[in-house]
Amino acid sequence: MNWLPLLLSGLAVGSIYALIGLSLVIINKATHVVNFAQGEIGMFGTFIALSVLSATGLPVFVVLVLSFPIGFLIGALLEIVFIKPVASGPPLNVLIVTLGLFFMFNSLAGIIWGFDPYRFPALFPTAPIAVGGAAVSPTSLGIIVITLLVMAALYVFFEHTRYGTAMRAASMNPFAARLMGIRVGVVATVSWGLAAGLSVMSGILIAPLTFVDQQMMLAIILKGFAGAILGGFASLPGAAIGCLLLGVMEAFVGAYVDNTIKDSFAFVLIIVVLMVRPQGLFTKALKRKV
Amino acid sequence: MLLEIDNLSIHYGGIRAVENVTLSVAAGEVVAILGANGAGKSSLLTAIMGVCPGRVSGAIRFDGASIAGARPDRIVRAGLAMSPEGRQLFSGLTVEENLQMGAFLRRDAAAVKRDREAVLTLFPRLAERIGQIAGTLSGGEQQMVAVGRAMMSAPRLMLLDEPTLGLAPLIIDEIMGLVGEIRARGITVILVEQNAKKALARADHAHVLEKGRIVMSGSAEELAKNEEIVSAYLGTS
Ligand SMILES: Nc1ncnc2c1ncn2[C@@H]1O[C@H](COP(=O)(O)OP(=O)(O)OP(=O)(O)O)[C@@H](O)[C@H]1O
Ligand SMILES: [Mg+2]
Repeated sequence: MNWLPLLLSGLAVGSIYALIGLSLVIINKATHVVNFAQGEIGMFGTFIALSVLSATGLPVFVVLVLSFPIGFLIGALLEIVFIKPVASGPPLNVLIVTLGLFFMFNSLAGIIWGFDPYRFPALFPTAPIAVGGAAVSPTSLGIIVITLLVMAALYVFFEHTRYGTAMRAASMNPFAARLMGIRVGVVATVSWGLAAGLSVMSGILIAPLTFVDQQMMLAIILKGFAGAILGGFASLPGAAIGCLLLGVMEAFVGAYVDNTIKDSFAFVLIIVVLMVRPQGLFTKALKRKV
Repeated sequence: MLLEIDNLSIHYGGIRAVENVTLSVAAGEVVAILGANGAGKSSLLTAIMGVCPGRVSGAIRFDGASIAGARPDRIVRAGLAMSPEGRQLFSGLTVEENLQMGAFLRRDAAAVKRDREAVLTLFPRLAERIGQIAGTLSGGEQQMVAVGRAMMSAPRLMLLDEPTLGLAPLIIDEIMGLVGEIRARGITVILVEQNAKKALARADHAHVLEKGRIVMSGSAEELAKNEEIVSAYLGTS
């Protein structure tokens, strides 16, 4: 059963990618750009969480729960201050602003907290538990369970609430959405808030396994982006599954083939998949509508 | 007067699409606005709803209160709704969700439910397709969703922008028949059409727009008598 721990650690890493991948898709649906700063927002929020943790001594789980509203506020503010003023221009202008935000958060974190890595306290027990003869890490299980809960909450929000449906409507047809009295500008702010909340959660979930420093999210945003495209960038469930799959593939290639090629392997596979299915693995081909 | 428009002009950059339009609509009426392609009909309606991308000047009053320059959500709350040209459905949402979005601003769940039933009674075809993705409906069915969605906000004034565009003759009559149904529910209607004959048959008053100006106004009966002149303006004679 040595595949079970491997599968779970792959799913755990994939979960981290998925939280970032989902935030990228949510912002793309509202603002029509890929937010390059998404990972850095997660990193910055993780630093803030760490500061809150050491200043208040709150239990680390409370800080994890707080990470979502903290991230939401950061994202909503960013949208209002930096994105709205350029949103009416071409998407490339917005893209440049997100690149600017990337560098801004990266240096800001360095200036405030320095460039040495910090340790982040463990969220879960560290002693492995035995499942069917295999030693399973509670951290992996914990990350997977929390991510699945977040995904379920997102699903209910977008599919079964009035505001979630309005957010989808605004993304499909902003003109008609305004005719219904939906404030499309507010939808964009909420989208950035949601996305940043998810990114900060992903930063805090991965922080105990890596370290907290300015570079912590660099590889993760690339993988989250790649996994989301693998599954289908147009769909939240597609993107999430793509990210989970990417995490699992990396784990198995790393263990059975070669750890040094696992990063490039993932991208080669994605390129091959996109040659065969340009719309990603889990979304239906877009049909032209009149 | 339920709606009063005073000296309304609309510019897109340097292009003037609507020029000094003044008209009013009494409660309970059906008013037709006729005009050829590019006459400024849609510009006028989007300006009333607060969603016109151009520069709008002049006064628009609804029930006595100015709505010119107001946010569309305020205008919808005030009691206006529009079924836009080209239907503009949320094509990836179901029929149910499209109707639900029409009632986005309403909090009274019981009243919304009653209105949903009313819309589905009016359009039995939509009741059969309530769970279908709107983008996969036929053109006529999509138009019904657009009208039903506008009705879901419980408007007092409904703007219908070319509801028959691109539909087969049989469906055109069905959709046109709706105008009477909507009026029977006490809703005032502004109907934009290129099909003068059909529109005049259902309207009380009508205005003909040419190049952004009103060139003819009167009771629908009068204009129907002068159908040849009207048709000349529409370029359909
Ligand atoms: N968003 C826009 N930007 C620039 N010009 C516009 C815009 N919308 C409309 N126009 C111009 O304004 C004029 C009036 O257009 P409008 O759509 O209001 O006419 P219409 O009477 O509704 O025509 P149709 O019957 O073809 O729908 C046209 O010359 C059109 O090119
Ligand atoms: Mg038009």
